Amino acid sequence: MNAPIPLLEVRDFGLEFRTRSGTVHALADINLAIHKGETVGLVGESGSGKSVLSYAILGISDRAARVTGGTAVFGGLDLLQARESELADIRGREVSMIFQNPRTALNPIRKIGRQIEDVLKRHAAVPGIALKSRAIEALREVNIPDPERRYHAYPFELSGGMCQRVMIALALACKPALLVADEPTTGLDVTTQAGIMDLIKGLAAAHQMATLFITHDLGLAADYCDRIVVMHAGHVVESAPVAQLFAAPRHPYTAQLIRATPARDSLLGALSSIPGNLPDLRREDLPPCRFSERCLNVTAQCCESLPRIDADATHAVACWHPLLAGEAQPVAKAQVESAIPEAGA
Amino acid sequence: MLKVILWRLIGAIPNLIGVVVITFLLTRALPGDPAAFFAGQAATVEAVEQIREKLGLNKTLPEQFIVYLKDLARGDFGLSLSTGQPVATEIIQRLPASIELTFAGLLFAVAIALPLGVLAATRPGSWIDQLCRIITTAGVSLPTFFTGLLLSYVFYFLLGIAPSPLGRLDPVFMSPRAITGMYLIDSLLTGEGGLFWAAFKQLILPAITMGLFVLAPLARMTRASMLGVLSSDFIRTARASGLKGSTILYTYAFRNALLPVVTTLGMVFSFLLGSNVLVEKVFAWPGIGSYAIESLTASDYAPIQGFVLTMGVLYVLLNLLIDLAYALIDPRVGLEA
Repeated sequence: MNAPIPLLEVRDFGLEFRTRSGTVHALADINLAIHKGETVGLVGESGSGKSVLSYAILGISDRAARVTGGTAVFGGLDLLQARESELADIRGREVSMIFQNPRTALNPIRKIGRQIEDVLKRHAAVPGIALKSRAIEALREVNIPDPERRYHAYPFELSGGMCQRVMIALALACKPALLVADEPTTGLDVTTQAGIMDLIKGLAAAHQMATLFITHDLGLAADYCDRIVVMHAGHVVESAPVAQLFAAPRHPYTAQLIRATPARDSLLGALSSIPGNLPDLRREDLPPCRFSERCLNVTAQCCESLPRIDADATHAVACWHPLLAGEAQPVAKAQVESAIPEAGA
Repeated sequence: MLKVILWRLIGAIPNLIGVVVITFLLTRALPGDPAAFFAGQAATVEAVEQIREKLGLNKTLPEQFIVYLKDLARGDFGLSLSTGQPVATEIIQRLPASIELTFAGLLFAVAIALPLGVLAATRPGSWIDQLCRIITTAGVSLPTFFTGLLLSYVFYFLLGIAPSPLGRLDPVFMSPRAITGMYLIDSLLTGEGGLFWAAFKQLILPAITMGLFVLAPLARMTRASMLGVLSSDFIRTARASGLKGSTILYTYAFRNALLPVVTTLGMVFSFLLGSNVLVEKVFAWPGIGSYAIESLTASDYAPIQGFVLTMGVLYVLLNLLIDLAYALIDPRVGLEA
């Protein structure tokens, strides 16, 4: 293996939340690598731990979060062991993040130009008089019309799509090496969504920036990512280049997820839903493979251990019984229904 | 901006008319006959009638009201029966004492409540959060007159640190030349340091008494509001951008958290105007609150009318000030509304 050193490499990472109603085993055995300039899609159902993982990488997790193990190495520094001051130096300068709901993600009572200046002032050695021109420059780069005037705008005076452009300008003001985009187009209409995604893609290419694109929309991830990492209930279950993942998914969950994703010519009736729900992550008796209770191919081995996923492999899968190429044809509906009581047992 | 202020003031006129009507009716409905009261115990029926006629109290209520309005329009609040002085003059003389006390109390409350609320919100469950909880509970459950008496008892009678709780200044001092009527400011303007210190010492206990009462709602609101803002999305953005803790706390969180605090500030200020009456009585403070009480016990209706009207005007001005502060903090608040 002479692959280049990844920009971000997460190894055996686990995280849990101590809450009043018990410990939530939110993330376990996470292995993930992002290379320079690469766009990686992080896909999974709501509650699968996508956002929790990204917050943990940036060190902005909730107070109740406890790292249970592993490393997350970025530029030679383990982000999980780093001091808060070291992390704060990296955030916004080396690793930036954009969020869903751009309207609430910006300070409602501060001019957007000033908010960009705050970031520049913190990270970039920009002299005071140049701050304003740099902020306007950042707004121009995200194609905001009339940036000199918009500099003085407040978030409530802009549309949702405009606010997301401002968020991107804010995140990219210091030219980070990695952008974490947490569902950046959720809540925007479809035409705006395409505009925002094209903008992120274009800027990433222009600045050689890696992007971790978090979404629950497999179709959107397919359009914009080089590689897709599939998460289920706090586990990474599969990681593969986009074409390979869609052509020959190896994890049963991925295969079902693809079947549940509408394509250009698919009929509503042809879409299937994935039986069962995510397991309750507060359970103490979580099976090693957290998909085993929803899986049709489950065997005794799945309830004993989980194969370790190899982040360096081109196509990695965490399953004892990975599907072979061509095996991932649709399951008959009756077959799925008959499997449910069995899975629940 | 000026136009907006003017419009707001015009908009307050109906409120003031309401205040005028209600105070007039209430003072007329007061038990006791002012004429009989001022004629004295030994007065004959004729003498009482004479006084009644002189005061205009033998006229019908609508007639009395029109006379009252005419006087008001000329800036005449009537004469105080017990002192013989024009009410307007007396109120103008006493108002600075009340304002000085109220603002000192408010300043004390804000200076304690805001940092306490912010600290409690940033460290939930810590000892400072518990302290905040204890103080806010104690603050609302202790009545003002009681805290006033307690403070005097402890700091004047037991410990002897505080000066005697009687009035604005120790009798050995001459009051400063009246510029604003507020001793602290006047003594500073005339450069009398000793006098400033003396007036300050007199002010401490009553101001704390006033402040303790409003500290609780302020601290509680600051804490709740800060907690809400700190968990909002834009704080997460600020953290994800690596902004410094102090920038996040003050520039981002605190300014946003201030909005409901300012609203509460307006509310507690009106509590303060009300509790003036009690605190001034306990500390023999020569403000308009004690003036109102003395007049009330003497069935002296003109000062009471003047007092309530003054409070009404203060309240209108205060609300205007709060609205302006709100518009200054939050760009989303349009002043035109």
